[in-house]
Amino acid sequence: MTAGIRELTISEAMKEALADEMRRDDNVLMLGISIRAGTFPHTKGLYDEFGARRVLDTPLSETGCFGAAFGAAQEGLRPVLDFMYAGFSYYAGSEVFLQAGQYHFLHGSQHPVPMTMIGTCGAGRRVGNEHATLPYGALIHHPGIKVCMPSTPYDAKGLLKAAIRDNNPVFFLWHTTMMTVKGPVPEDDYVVPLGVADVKREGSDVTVLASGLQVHRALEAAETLKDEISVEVVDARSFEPFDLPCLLKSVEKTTRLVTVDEDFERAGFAAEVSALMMEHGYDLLDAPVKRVCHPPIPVPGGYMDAYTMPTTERIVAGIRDVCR
Amino acid sequence: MIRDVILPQLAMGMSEGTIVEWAVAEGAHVDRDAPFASIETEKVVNELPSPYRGFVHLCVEVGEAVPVETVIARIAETESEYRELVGSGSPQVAATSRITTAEPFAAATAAMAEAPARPPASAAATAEPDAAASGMIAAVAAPAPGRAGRVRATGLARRIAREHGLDLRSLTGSGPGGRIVRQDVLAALERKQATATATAPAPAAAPTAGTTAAPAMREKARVPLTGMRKTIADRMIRSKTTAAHTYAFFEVDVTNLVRVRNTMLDREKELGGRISMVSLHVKALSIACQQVPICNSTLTNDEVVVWDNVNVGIAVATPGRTEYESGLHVPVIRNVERQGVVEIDRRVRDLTERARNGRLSSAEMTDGTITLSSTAGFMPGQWSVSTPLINQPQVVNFQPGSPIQKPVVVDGEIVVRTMLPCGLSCDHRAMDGEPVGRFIRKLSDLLAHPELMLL
Repeated sequence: MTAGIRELTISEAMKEALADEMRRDDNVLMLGISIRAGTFPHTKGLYDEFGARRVLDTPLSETGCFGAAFGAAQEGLRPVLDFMYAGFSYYAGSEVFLQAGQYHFLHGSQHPVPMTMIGTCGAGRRVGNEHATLPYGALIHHPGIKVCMPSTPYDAKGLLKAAIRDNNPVFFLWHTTMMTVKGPVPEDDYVVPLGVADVKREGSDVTVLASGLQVHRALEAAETLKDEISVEVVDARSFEPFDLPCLLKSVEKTTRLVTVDEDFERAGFAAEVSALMMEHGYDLLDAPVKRVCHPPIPVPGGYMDAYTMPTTERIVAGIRDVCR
Repeated sequence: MIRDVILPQLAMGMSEGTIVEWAVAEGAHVDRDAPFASIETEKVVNELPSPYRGFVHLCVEVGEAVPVETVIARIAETESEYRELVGSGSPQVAATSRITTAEPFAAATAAMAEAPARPPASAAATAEPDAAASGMIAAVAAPAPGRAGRVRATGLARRIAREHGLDLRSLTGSGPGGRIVRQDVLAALERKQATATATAPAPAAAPTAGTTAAPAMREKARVPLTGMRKTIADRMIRSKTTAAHTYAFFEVDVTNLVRVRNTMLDREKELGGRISMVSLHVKALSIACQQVPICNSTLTNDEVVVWDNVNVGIAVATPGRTEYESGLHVPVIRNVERQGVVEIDRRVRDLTERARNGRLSSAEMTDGTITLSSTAGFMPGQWSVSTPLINQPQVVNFQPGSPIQKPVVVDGEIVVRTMLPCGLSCDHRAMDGEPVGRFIRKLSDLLAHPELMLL
């Protein structure tokens, strides 16, 4: 292992980002549900280092803690609001989907809202519909909010730093089943900019766009098909802003696209990518675009979620379908 | 400054209102917030205070219902501005209900009175271009989606085809559902470069409606010599001026052949279709070619190549996009010498249909060794022979006409037989009369005595 690079989990990488930013900038503070106790490992120990003024537990009220964070942002602080589960943000629907993104515009650019919201999401932990919600499809639909989701510890630290430093409201999502996924993370202060995708595996026959856990499923699918079809895997990393030039460059090479989206199929991120491809990449496509998503049914409870979420097999089938 | 007073939306769902009373007179000075007008909407009367200070010019009648946001009055800051505003000719609107035409409306009606000029007269001297033709031609001017309907092709395939001027309608797709994909276009371009035969032409520019013409001439249409027409024109003139065309005309007694065909027609179901005369001609041609191989050859680069396999090209007249256009495609049935009539017939039907729908691929129009161009379809029931142009690089083109019944001498008696008038052209550079004569004799024998095709 090179000096300065350690194997960290995604949670550890997130904690490092939060601690770094709080040390770097006194205006950064954390609010949220059950963060002092460190119920999720990414907040463990932060209260000990930064104390009650920087790490605040809030009552179980999403509208309340949003209001506190929002107010803090307007006063010039940089709050990091931890919803615990990203789906809980829906309780503060108007606040998150309308106020957060629109406030700056409604007030003639006088009041930026430099707040970061974080929450875990994703199916596969048998947590049922309310805890598995992936809100990015709904978030990107509402103007003014940036949204990102890492698939590796390296990206987690870099994206969270970028989110905190951004002067816009940014929702940072992390996948519930990937808490303990390890990967190399440099010690130093680096940022993964929002709006930049990453080619996680090069290929020439088909582009597979994925995010979060599905990046790993896509890489597995690529490995399964390696003797048959050369698969390029692009990690979106940010949903808004979305790195369309990177995707177009990839599709120009491969002429085929499969978008993997763990969120519900209806009018989500994959649908948006499909529309963008028609508008900007029609002449590049040698086959219709395909999406592999969670079907438009609620996330089932218990072990059933393994049957509805995208899997390596479904991705392989999708790739084969566009390569006919 | 002159400012507009608009009818405000006084309630959710209000779409229009009526001035029931003006609280100011025309030209009067009004202070801001002073009573201005009473507006009725949905049985409720609202008082509107003046939004500005100045001299009032009223624009709407009492009792007139106007939509929300209509300019109901204009307020000029100074008296001189007011005089300029009304001095521009607008009649004053009385504060009472006397109806006079308000200026904006007068302006509108004036504009309508100057009816737009008639469309410029066509430069064509006398009668207008034929309406039906111009309508059809105008429709053709838009990109044609393909005669059989939409061409299914990916965006990428379309782009490559467009960049190279390749007509997608001439391709068959290998993608799902017959979709044309990039590979199909690239392959077609390769073949286009590799072969000397006619490539899929770019869609011809649409014939335009008649334009300028000399006084006594009336144009019906103009058909530019582009695309497929140009390709045909070029090949025809090249063939005519380079091949030493020599024509032979003869009649063949096809009475027996007709009877044989009828026997096949009686078994339409078993045979999977109605066997055509063309298929029988093709079969006969292939046997004759094997018997006189010089007629089954091609002449290129000062070399006559005599071929073992007989690939018969069938000339198919294809409909043009307008009544002034037509097309000609010659799809090729390969290796006819190995096929029975049923198989030949199936291929003839398939190729003919696809030729008419513009769905032949370039590969299906290459490597012919002899051409059959029947005119039976053009002039049925009429005795006619014609001089077919050789389809280069081949050296023989056989052109049977329509079979008709004629009085013929058989064993010293006049009997009624079905005779097939035929024309045949050959390239005298490649062969002389004797082999051609032999070929014609063999061919005639086969057509007159179809049982010989069993051998």
